[in-house]
Amino acid sequence: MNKGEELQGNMHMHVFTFKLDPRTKIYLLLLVNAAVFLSPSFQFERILMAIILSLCFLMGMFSFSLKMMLGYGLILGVHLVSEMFLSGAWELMFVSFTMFIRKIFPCVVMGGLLVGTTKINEFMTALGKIRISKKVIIPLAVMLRYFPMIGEDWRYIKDAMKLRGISPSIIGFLKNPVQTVECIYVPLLMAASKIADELSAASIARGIENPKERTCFQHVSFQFSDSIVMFIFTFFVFGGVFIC
Amino acid sequence: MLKIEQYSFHYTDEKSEGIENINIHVKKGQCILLCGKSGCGKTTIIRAINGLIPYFYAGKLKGQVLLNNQPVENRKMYELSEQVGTVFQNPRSQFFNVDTDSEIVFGMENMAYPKEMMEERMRQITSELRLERLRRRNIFHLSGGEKQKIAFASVYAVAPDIFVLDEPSSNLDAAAIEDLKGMIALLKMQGKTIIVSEHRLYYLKELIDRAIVLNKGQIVSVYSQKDFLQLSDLQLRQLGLRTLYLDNVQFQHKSLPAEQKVHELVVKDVTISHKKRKVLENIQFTAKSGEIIAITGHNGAGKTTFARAICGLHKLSSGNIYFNKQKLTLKKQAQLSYMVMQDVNYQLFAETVEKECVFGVKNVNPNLVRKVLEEMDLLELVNRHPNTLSGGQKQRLAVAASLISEKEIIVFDEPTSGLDFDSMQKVSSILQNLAEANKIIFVITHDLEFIASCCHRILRFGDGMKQDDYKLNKENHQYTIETFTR
Repeated sequence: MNKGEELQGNMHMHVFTFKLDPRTKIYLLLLVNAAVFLSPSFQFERILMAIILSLCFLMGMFSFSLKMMLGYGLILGVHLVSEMFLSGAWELMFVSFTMFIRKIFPCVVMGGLLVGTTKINEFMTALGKIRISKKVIIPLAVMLRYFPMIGEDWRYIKDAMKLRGISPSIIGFLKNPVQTVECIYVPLLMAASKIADELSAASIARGIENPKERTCFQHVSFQFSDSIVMFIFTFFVFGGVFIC
Repeated sequence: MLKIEQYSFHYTDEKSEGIENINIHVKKGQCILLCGKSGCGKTTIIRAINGLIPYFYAGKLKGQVLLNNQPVENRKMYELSEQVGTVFQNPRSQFFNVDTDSEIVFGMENMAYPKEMMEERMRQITSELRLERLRRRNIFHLSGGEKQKIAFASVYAVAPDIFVLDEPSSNLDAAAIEDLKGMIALLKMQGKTIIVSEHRLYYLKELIDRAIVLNKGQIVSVYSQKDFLQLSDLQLRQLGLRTLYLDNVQFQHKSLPAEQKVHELVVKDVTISHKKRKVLENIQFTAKSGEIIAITGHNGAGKTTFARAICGLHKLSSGNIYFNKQKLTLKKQAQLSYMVMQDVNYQLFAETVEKECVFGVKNVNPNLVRKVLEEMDLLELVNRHPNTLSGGQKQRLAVAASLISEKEIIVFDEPTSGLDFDSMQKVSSILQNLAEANKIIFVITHDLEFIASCCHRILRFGDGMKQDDYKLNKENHQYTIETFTR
């Protein structure tokens, strides 16, 4: 259609510097979750973040890793500033808020990596290979499919809010929290339930429940790169817990 | 091949209408059209054939659907999917993947085709359906027509004997409809059996063998192709059907309502970009209140981006917009204008119709609310939840909300997609009432019959610029038809 959009679409899913098996990515996601719980120090978290962001970068999610890096920096900045200049209840509020976000940040980035670089058919094939039942795979796949759609829905809802004179920004939220939340979740839920229904009907009509083991147009298998990445992450998380 | 015998079905939730005593016999290789007013039961019949009734949709069922003399009910859905392929109405929610290649092979993967066979079939489909340009693309970046083509390709890939298509043209422009027509013709040539439910009939007239007209869940009449094509416009109207011959569309040539105080919207040297790429360049025109202006052009010509720019939702790269000689800022634009979206569900927020009307409005004038609700025929529904309303009622509610917040510019994004003749006429009369009320009205549309029924003027976009801008009159209506049928 047009060059710019085509390129962008491709960049998101085809010009990978390297690829990982979806199973590796799921393992990493679980591992990062564990790491966040076990995290012994702030140092450990920062190194974890650095490793995850480099992985994102290597897998071709350039703008995503850049944005996440800025976001993480911003959170650290707010944390630091509020520790230095605030006191009492305000300090408590800001510090605990930024701490909470800082803690879950690695998981969010890892989840973004999983959603952003995994094709749904690869995901289903990979889970099928480790003998997970279709009853579990199908809803998970629908969920994975729905994430990028939220972005599209959000654009329409933002337009609709602006036309009613309601600002879909953080300032608008602070001024009028109840109304803003209502404006977002009512249409989002309505759209989600309708789409989930239609999506299920369409996939059933196309034989998703076939008990034969699915084949996959793309090649899905463990590569050397999978073992390296898994080794680095595992080594860091368990080693780091003791060392840092 | 396919027999529907004394079939009745009523949904448990009673929201959607059921069907009553349906008998249809289809021979191999025939193309059958199901048509009728909205809610006549077309979609229900489609679901009975592809097995989603009773497997996915619950309800009370009598009679049976036989496929090669075997009842559909007793078959597993995945077995059926090898014989019956369905193209659904909404391309957005029938995709399971995010890139086109994976989507095309989705059915084949489910049926566990070996990899070599998939690759071979993929090459074959790509050349038969001319998909070269659409391979390896992100689905979110495709136009409606392109999406529909991918949906079609993915069903075509597993080569079922029967194709069922549920209003496949709802979101398509004229060129994409031609493509769709080509694909159906290809199926016919291959001896496939086709059942298509549709509102827009003109593109199917050479393809169908039989037309079945439904009303309130029952078959009212069955026509052979020859008899169907001889129906007069009046007879079609009585059956609630759209025109069969686009070139015969009758233009109303409504004159502009006489009004003392005319508002004026001036668009001057406007250029709009999307992601650093120029979508439309150097657009200029003046719109006056009372005018209904159709915005046309092929899918992807920048119509929606333009509409969003008018409403202050998309920043102009250069140029200005003036209202009554006053230069508008984005904020002012958003205050003055309103867009009735194609999927109106996104813009309904409140829990009752009444609250919806005044949502976000400061200084509510109760008299105005009453008057508007009465005009929009919503007065009896004030306490209903907006989501329990029908599609048409939701659309009217969105219009009501815009009138109560005293917007002067109202933009409609494809208000008649998937509507039957009567509903289309209702939308057209709403637009005319708004014009009488001295509003400036833009309407993005692919629907020539609708344009003929109420629009005063046409703005056509293409190749990144304004290609046409003229007032509709007797001299140029032939030209308008040509731009839609070419």
